[in-house]
Amino acid sequence: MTQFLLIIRHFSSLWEMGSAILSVKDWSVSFGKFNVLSRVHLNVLRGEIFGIIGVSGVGKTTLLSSFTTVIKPDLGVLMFDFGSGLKPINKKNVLLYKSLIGFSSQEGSFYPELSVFENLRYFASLYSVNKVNERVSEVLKLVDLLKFKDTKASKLSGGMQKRLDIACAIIHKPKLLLLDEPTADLDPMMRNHIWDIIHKINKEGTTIIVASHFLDELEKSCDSLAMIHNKRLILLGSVSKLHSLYSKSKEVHIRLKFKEYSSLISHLKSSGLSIKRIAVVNGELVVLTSNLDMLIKRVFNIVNPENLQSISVNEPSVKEVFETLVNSNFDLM
Amino acid sequence: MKFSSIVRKDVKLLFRSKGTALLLVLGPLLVMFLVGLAFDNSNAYRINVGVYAPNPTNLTNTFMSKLNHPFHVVKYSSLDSCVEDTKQGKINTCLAFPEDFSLQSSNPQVTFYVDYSKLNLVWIVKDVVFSRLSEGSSEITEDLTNTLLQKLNDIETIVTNKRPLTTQLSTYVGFINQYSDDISTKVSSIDTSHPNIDLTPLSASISSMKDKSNDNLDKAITYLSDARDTLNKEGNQTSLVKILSDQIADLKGLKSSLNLFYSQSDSSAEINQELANISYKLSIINSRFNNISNSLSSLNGDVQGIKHNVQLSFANIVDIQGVFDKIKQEIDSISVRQASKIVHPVSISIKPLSQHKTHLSLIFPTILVIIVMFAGLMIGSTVVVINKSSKASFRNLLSPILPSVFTLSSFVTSLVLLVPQIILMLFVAFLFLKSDISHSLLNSFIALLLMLSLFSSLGMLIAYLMRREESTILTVLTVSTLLLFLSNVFLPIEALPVWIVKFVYFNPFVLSQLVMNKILVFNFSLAQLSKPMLILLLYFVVFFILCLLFNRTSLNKPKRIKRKNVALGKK
Repeated sequence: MTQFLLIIRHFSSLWEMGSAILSVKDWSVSFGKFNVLSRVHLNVLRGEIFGIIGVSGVGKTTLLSSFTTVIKPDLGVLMFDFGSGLKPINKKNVLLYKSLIGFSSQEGSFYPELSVFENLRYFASLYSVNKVNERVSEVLKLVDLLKFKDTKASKLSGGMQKRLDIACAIIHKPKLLLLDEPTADLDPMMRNHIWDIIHKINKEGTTIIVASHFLDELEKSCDSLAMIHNKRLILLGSVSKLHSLYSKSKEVHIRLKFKEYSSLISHLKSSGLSIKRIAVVNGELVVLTSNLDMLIKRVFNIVNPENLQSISVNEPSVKEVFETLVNSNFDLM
Repeated sequence: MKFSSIVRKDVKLLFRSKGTALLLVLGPLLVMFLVGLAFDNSNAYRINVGVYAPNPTNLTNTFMSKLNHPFHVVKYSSLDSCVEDTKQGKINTCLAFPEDFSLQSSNPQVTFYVDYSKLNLVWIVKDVVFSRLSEGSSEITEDLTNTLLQKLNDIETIVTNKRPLTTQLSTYVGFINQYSDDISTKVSSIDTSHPNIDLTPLSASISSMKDKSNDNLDKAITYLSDARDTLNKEGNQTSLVKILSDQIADLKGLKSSLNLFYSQSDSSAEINQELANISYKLSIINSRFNNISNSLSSLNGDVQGIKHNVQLSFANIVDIQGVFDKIKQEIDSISVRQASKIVHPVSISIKPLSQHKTHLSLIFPTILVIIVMFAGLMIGSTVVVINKSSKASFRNLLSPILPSVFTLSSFVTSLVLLVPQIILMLFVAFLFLKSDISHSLLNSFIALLLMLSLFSSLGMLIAYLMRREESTILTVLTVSTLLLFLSNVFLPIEALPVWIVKFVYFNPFVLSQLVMNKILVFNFSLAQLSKPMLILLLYFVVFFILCLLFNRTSLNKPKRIKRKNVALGKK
């Protein structure tokens, strides 16, 4: 509990520092009577890749969509840095705000009947992009679709369509790019390709918010992460910070010759050691604990050395942290 | 730039889908072309008429020849097959002639078999075939009337020719009458009276005459004797006395002769006998005179009878003359002597209010409005649906473009697609109906543009109101059907309930139909149609404003999200 309060403080300080490009406070969204998000607070720093993780249906897409102002909140404030600090989005500046953000949805949002070039040209015209043809070529080069510029969008493969959608989202050089599940339904190669593109875009100075359920991808690529569960934000912070917060806990992998872990599990559970999680995964016992030394001593005491095949210690992944938090039913806010 | 890009994109999207492009763009033109071909004739309809005539007569042939043009007559040998084919729709109607179909038959009735289930055609078939049969009947009636009139004319000629004969006859009868009068007068004037000759006085006269002659002779003798005596006494008149003595002697001799004559009995008897004969003959004569008198009286009676009959005949002749005159007068008083005028005393002439030669030119305004309505509704709604249902709609929502721009773009896209169709339709119509619509092409175009705007915005509004594509299509069809039903396309407006009729006249389709009809058929100017045009304009403005409102709502916030009093950036 303490670590999460620390995270909040950390972000509160960031907010006060004013380096955030986007910020929401008390952000609550409902569909009719069904409350999807409740009092979410978060800041996205300028130039970072911000990851939003959560199980399917938890409200990641709703949160991203609400950032576009297409979905109205029940409650809360959305603020954006137009260049002179965070300003609330209102009716007066909403069009300007829209012109500064880009969005790529999971399904893709372009005209399948039009060619790649026609799609980009059309969306460029909506944003009054100068030198449209040059910009289109530039973007096509970026997303590696130049060869397919005259191909009808519907004829493109899934990965190409995803890249086209991202291209449409960045045609107007947005300050903030919102990506919803950019690698969903793609093979690992293509996922890497997409992430390469995202990194390229980010390097050009675009702040990116990515919602995904591929936690490992987010862990590798994001600067900051927000975890949503049960309508609420349960974890928020930079990946390194999260790792440091979780450094006290280690993941011990124990492999026994006879694969019989029940007596060991019961012994460890009754040992009085701080064990956050214990489970058999892929034929080995995985124990998450903050008392690493004591645990190893206990294992050696309990298990016959001939039966002990291997024992190793790992840092916990974000996924494991997420699973831990979800299973512990944390209530952050 | 943005606006034109949206319009270009919408047009591209519509044309990329070949089916949609064909349906939306070529559909109305195809309909127009087919309707043009179908109605570009001066005959109302092509009707197949089945005819069953068990015993063809001249009369049936007359009727059939009447039906042969413009209908297609199919002859049947049995009534059942004729009726059956009518049921199956192979023919439009079946006419059954009776076996003894002739003018002499007591009831030459033609039976008509029609399929009432084909509501829209049956009245036309009835009307058209009846008119052809009536035409045939009229011709026959005209022939019969002609014959009758010919006879009447003959009678008039005879009466006219023979009328002088009656005059002559009456003159002759007048003469006879006159002659009768003359005869009667002359007969009456014949005096058959005769004196009654009595010979007794004659006899008495004779006696008296003897006595008187004796007396006179005596007196003469006395006087003469006295004179002689006197003379003798004087003596100097001897010669004279002698003469007197001679005269006395002669008178005495005469007296003696007379006395002798009277005294002889035979002479007296002869005289009496002669007198008796004379009396007898006189009585015969008297009797004959009486007979003559009687005959004359009888003759006079007969003449009077003749005269009476002549007078009666004369009266009859006068009557006949009167009858003749009356007949002639009556015939002359028949002012209408033409059979066609007698058969059709009142000729009904249906004069068109406009000089249009084909049915197409008359129904063209309605067809045009129907096409414009369907095209406007379909294209207007389709343009919106394409954008709403597209994957890219979300990206459009994200763009910094006001929803009203998208609405306006959709509207302009509809017009961009529809206006060339109007121009093409008017051009095609101009080719088909050159003389009929050339004068009102510009007015037609302006009015059609307004109608297109109206129906396109209505289609767009429906698409904005409906969440699902199929709901939009169904609603568009329902609305267009409703607009058509509440017009005089299917039924006359007057046939609708009174309370509906009040509203029907505000039906945009009816108003459009009215405007186009007056422009194309009656060559009205737009100024003359300002009222309906203004109503149509009002409809368009209202629909378009509603489009803007509903598009804004749907773009800003999905309807399923409950709106609360929280604005962006405000608690």
